[in-house]
Amino acid sequence: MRKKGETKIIGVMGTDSKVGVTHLAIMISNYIANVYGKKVGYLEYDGESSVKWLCENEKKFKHYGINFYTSVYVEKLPELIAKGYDYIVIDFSSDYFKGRSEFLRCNKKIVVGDVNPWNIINYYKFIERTSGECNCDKWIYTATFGILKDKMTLGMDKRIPVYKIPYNPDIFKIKHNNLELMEKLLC
Amino acid sequence: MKQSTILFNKYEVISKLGHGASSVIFLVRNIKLNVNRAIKRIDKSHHLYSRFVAEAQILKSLNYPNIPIIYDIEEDDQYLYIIEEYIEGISLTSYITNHKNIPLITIYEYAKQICNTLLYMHQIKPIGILHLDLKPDNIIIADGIIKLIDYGNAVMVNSKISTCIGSCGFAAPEQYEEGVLTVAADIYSIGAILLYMATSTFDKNNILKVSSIELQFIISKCMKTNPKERYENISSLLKDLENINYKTNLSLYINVLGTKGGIGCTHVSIMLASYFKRKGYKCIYEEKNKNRNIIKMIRALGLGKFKNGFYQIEDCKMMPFSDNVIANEWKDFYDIIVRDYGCYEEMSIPVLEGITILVGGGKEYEIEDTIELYKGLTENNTTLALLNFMDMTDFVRMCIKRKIQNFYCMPIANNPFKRSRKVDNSFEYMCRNHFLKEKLHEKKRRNKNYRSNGD
Repeated sequence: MRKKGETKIIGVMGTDSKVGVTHLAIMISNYIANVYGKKVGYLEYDGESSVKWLCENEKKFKHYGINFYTSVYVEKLPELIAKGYDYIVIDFSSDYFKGRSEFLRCNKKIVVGDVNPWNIINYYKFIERTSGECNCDKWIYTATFGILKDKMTLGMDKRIPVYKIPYNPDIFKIKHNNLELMEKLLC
Repeated sequence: MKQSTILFNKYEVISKLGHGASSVIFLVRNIKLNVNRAIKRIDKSHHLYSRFVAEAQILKSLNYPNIPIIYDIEEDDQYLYIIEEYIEGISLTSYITNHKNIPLITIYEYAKQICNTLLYMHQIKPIGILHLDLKPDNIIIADGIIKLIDYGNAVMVNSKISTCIGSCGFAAPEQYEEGVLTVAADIYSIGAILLYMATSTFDKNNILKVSSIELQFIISKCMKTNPKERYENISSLLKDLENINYKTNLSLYINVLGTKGGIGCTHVSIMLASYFKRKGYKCIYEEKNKNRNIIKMIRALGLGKFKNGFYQIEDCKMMPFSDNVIANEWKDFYDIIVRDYGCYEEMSIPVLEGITILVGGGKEYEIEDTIELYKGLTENNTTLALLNFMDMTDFVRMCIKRKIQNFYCMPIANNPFKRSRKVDNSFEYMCRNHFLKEKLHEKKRRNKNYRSNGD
């Protein structure tokens, strides 16, 4: 049971590269900052920065109420929590093995993948690879690309529900048909 | 310089494009690349020569789609030659002269490009750059793309000036005095350009002629005489620009403001939204204050759910406050949008589209404030007043004593989501007010026509 005032950490991990991890992580951060009105930090977990275009290669900057930290090492995390953020959203990109220990420590774990017929195999591989992780059935699975029926599930033995992320071209302008998904991801 | 002259073994002169007091511009062709360029030739002996050199240095450091590219600088004994991007287009001045009634969406598209260009310039490291000569003549439209030209007055942000710089009508007042200039100076000019696009004049007295009330507000804020009262930065201005509904809006806005915190603004707004829904209108409650009551209700109390992509509590559809990050296209679905602005004290006197309802107290110690705020609002808004926590007998007595019109009494209702006959009767009576009746009637008629023609 979380104590009131504790920082909630949301981890967003991709099953593959270029599936929309950064896009979703920023949308979630935007929703928390501007709809909830909470203090939120967006943290890019190591690696080459995807968001440096937002502010001329700065490592740390604020945009649309979100505090961005780019290419951050895991050692920085306690320092950020101590700054009193209500939420920290960590963009793990698609390197599960590199970010595994931190991802598993997150309060909320969100997986993003692509369910197009030519890419869905990667989603299955990811599920298989992580099937032994503790509480992986409590992770939230989403898909940005591909045709998803209303209640799509993946897998034959284990039916894993997948939420479709509706098309939202501008991450700083959330379309109303994405609001319900935001609430589902954050509740 | 004659046609076909070769410059620097690279450029063949095609024609002369124009000339100013101190420079001549030629259209040339890069022989190897076979592309057109513009060459500005400046006389080294001219007293403004150093200004042109400074302008070229600034342009060389800028890299943005809406800023002309400087490819090279050459010189000989007599002249400096600046080789730049050739822009084929017309000035904004010519565009406005040739087009009457520019649509709001076009104004927005051009304003967005201008703002994004300035945002880039103001944020450039190590120190931002101010343009200080923004005017329609210095904006070229080339295939829908804006190009901002003439950086002869450009300085670093927070520079101190000792002479007047800028163009009459578009320059901020502080550009005519000695002092430090900030981004507020460019913001003033953007306001003047918006006004010019909307009305073909830059006279501030014509702001009320702008068709969109929201755009009027933006222009007024940009063109405040005191720089501190303008937008703090371009980002804030852009946010407001993005929030204007640029389509032909069928929605009727009912704006609810309270005279003070706790007067029941949110309560009344929810009751109104529920009432109109029961009357058969497609209605939604939109939270326009930062209290974030909807999110609190939904998350902390577990109320509500989603229906068709919208938050819903009981029968009332709701849109939470989001500081303009939720895109606007949902507004097209609704006949009536009840906008809860919350406590009046938190904002300067607003100018709002639609009908404004002021929720106030009617007790002896409150009524003066309510009447005063009501009068302030009616100067620019169609306003009604709703007195909360009041007994009908006292209300009637008060109206007779003070001879006030367009005031209505709000009965007490504990649960704003539940139907109450007393509340419905009050709203029925209020809807007979000629302002509201006319708008609601117009709503039904326009919707009927729109749906038969457009659907």
